[in-house]
Amino acid sequence: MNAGMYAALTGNLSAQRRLDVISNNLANASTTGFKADQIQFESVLANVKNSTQGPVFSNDRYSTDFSAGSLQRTDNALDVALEGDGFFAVSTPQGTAYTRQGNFHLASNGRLVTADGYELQGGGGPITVPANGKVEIGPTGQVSVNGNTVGTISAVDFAKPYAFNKLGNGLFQPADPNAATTASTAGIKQGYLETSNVKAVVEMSRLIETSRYFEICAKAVKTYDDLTSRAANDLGKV
Amino acid sequence: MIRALWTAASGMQAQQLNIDVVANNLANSSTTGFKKSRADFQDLMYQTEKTTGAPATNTTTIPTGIQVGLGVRPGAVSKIFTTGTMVHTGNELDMAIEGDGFLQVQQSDGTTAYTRAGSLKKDGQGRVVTSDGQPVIPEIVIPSNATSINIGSDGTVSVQQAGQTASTTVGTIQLASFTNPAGLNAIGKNLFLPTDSSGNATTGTAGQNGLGTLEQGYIEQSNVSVMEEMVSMIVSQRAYEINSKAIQASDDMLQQAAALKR
Repeated sequence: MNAGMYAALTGNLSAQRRLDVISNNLANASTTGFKADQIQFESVLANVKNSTQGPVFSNDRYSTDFSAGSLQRTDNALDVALEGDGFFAVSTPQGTAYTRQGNFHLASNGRLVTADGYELQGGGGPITVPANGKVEIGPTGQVSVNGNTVGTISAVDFAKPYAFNKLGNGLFQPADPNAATTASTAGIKQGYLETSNVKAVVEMSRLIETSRYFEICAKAVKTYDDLTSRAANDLGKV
Repeated sequence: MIRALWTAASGMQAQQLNIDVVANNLANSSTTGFKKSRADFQDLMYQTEKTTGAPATNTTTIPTGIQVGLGVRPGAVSKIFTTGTMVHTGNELDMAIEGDGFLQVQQSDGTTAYTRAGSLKKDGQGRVVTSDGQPVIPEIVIPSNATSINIGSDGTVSVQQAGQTASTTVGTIQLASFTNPAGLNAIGKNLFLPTDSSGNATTGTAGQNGLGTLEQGYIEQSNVSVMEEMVSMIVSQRAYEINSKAIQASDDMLQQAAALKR
């Protein structure tokens, strides 16, 4: 069969994958600390253009946008946002994971945990808040209850560009398990949450672009089909 | 394609929950002592199509893999315990708590519930009760011949009785506080129950240990900011709409794929 037909089909497949990514971004438009993913358009086109041997979808343009979301004031004592680059470290069954989701809760044992119950890691292990007190978190992450310091939330950072795997639940894990962490310079703001950094307008434009691209590829496939059909049915006619 | 359909559907569901929470906040914007809620969301799992850091050739590795997320799920709906506005009513048994405390209320099954709604009343036996007739703890009985009731900022309840010049103390309203009020379980009727996450109640005298003082003749309004809720509503509605567009787009694409075969 014609290589061009497969090239066009690859376009369809990558448009599908891009739509999956766009849908996930849109679904997470209100997820605290969410970072949008993108699969860029050009790489696919370039590949389709200059390949004659069944082009493959290239992944060198897939990326996660780690830009900051805006800060939303909640006035909740256990809501914290990071102002600047960095992550909270939490211990999960899959090992230490990192998150920008700062809506913490108290577990029954008084420890600060994420909404899923994963313990937040402080400078010296998990942070335990004694019962009945007002929790205050300073800009450097010092957690104090009624004026007594009980621990420090230590935000960590990694060398850029970040290479993370997403685990879901707002968690990231470095692709290289031995990646070195550095102390983050981010300021910690109590009573604020970082909103999702999904830009609805951008995603909508990508959505339109992707649907049209899919349509064009589908048309190309149809055209090849027409050509083949003429070769098969009309060429022999006198 | 089908994946995108379900992903966007989960987005629509999340925004529905958001609207449900906003609607309840708005419905209770004039409820005494009501605390607004907020829905928190989390991204669902990811399908890894190419692993980051896997070898691309024998000398290079893939710098960023491909992970396709499968949507969103509600993570928590938590109450936000900021203080509402104090409104002067002049009622003798209305009290607002200036600070973090809760009034303790005895439920019919004997358990203690907690509330910020201080619009108290007297029942037939002279007991100080909530609007639902549940007595406050410790129980305070107002004598039938009382002409006026005075509640001090530390919760001391004293009455002036007919034919007497000195006032008589009839009891003290105690307050309770929690380490993490956001973890309290709301059961309706302005009442909250403690959970593992909120920690147990610490009771004490009003005005001590950050428990807050009592203000007689005031009630605390809800902490719902109608403006803020309207903005959330607009944002959620648009997000809902935009997710429906993603469903439409995947549907269109499916249709085109189906049209390839004559």
